[in-house]
Amino acid sequence: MQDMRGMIRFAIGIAAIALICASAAPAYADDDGGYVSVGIDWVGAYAGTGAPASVYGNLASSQQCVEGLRRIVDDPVTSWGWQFNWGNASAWELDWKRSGLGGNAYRLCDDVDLVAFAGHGYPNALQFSTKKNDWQATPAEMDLGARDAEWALMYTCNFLKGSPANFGSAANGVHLICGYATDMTLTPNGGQLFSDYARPYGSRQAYGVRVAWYKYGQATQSWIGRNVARTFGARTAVNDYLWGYGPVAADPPAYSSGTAGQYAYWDTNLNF
Amino acid sequence: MKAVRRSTVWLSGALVLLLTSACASGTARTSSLDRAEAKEGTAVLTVAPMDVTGSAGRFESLTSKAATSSLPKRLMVYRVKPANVTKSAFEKRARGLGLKGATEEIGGKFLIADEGATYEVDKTTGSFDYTTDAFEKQTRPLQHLLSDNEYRKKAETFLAGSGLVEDSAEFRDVNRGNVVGTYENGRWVERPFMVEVRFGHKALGGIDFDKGVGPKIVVQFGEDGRILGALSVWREVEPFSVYALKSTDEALTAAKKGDAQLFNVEDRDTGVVDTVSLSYINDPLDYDQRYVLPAYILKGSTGNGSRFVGVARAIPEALLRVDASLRGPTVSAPLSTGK
Repeated sequence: MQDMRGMIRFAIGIAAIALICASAAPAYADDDGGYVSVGIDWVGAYAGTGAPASVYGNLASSQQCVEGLRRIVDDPVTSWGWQFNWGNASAWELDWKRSGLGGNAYRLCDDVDLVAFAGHGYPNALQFSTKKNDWQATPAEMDLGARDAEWALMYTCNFLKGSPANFGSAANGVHLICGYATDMTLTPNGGQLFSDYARPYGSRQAYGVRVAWYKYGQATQSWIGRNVARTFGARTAVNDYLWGYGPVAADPPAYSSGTAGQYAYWDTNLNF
Repeated sequence: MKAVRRSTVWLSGALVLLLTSACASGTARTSSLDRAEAKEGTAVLTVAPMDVTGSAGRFESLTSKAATSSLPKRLMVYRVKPANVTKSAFEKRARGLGLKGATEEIGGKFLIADEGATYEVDKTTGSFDYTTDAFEKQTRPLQHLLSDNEYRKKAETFLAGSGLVEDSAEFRDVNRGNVVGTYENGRWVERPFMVEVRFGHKALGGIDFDKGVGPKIVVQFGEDGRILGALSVWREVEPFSVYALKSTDEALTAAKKGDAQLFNVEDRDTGVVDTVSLSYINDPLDYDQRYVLPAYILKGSTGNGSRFVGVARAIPEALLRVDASLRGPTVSAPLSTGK
């Protein structure tokens, strides 16, 4: 009998601890994941890989750029997790490709809330240095948001070049895709700056995802050439904050010609 | 003994003459940097690596038909002056913006976050960010736009009134390129949702200082000319020393090798440079920039007729020490394994 009482007391204790832990952790309305996390893919070493983009040389800043998003995970105020960090030969087109086409996005790039890429970019195509299964990932192969992704940050040139007819097909529930409609300059502090703007800083409130992208662009991009930072996504999500820092819109419908009216893009002209 | 005294007097006179002519030549050096007798800087300059574009572009052939004979062969290199922003100076400007809250010192910045607006200043460079709550809410096309002159006047009045203006700043343009694209009646329509008035840095010794990340002061406007915020990426500079420049041919070779920032260049492109100029370059925010150096700005046409721009360093590599740590502290994250 005493053993039984002891077991009951033990069980009550465990339940109480679990309750305290649960109430201490911020709860997010992340109805498609439950656990909020960041995942990054980056390519810096292109030279000598045989990839089509290898002729353009290496990008020394790719890794540091997106690893700077770690600051979101390190923020003790929220409970973001760090889900994956695949770089160079381990970053693949398959990471972004939807499962219907044989890709792994459902368990990689679309299985996190915030996903980012840094590397070379052709118009509407992320460039990889390993052929798995292809050298490049295009919007037509993606269905970001079908599983989890709310926001995508593309630290690369031209991913959002043209009109949504060129890149809209990447959106299948993702709220906002931040990138460039033109060339851009890759800097090692790109992810850090975005993180610093998207989180509270001292007593300053966090900025929304779109505004954080604008401010990061202003801080790093040259006035020369043609630099247009672009955020594409659902109009309802224009002022989304990262989980834990402010309101987040409901998942939008997939982009199509029928839903195009529910989408928009916001451009920042960064050059003279 | 007299002979010794005479020779001493003669030597002193010669020394005075020598010093006078040296001073005269120093004066001439600052007014005409191209004089062959100008003494050149030889101190090695510590600089951050040149950032590269993420574009997939390179030249297979690059030639020039640009006239370059009028370009200087030597130029002043400038040293970045510490901004020395004091708490009292920061608070004076904050009060000018109508902020009443307490000042925080955090991460090398002064910051006041009030209800309705935030103002923060980077203590190292003096770069600032003033953002009102209205900034985030301004996402729809502007219904009522002002003329360029009206925006400019409002921006200048705002900067002067709040103490955010810099003596070395000058008006650059009214930027209506912040547009929202919406799908209406079967097509994408772009309209401004925010207008910016932009100020740049005055030229340094007749050479532009505007092809890097600014320097810039940007005032943002919403509906009916309402000010949404303002920001700057700014560094104050002072003359350091005159340096001999690379030749334009060397800059062209560097651009062809990809040892330059290239914008709007496609794969295995051909390029013909038609304009070569020089500009001083400002680094991104958070970079520990010590010197402001000139770079060659190569503009021309590619094989398909579109315009490209290349930025190549003008100071010889032998006089540069490239230090990646100047790009600021970085955050590392564990790599995934076992894919």
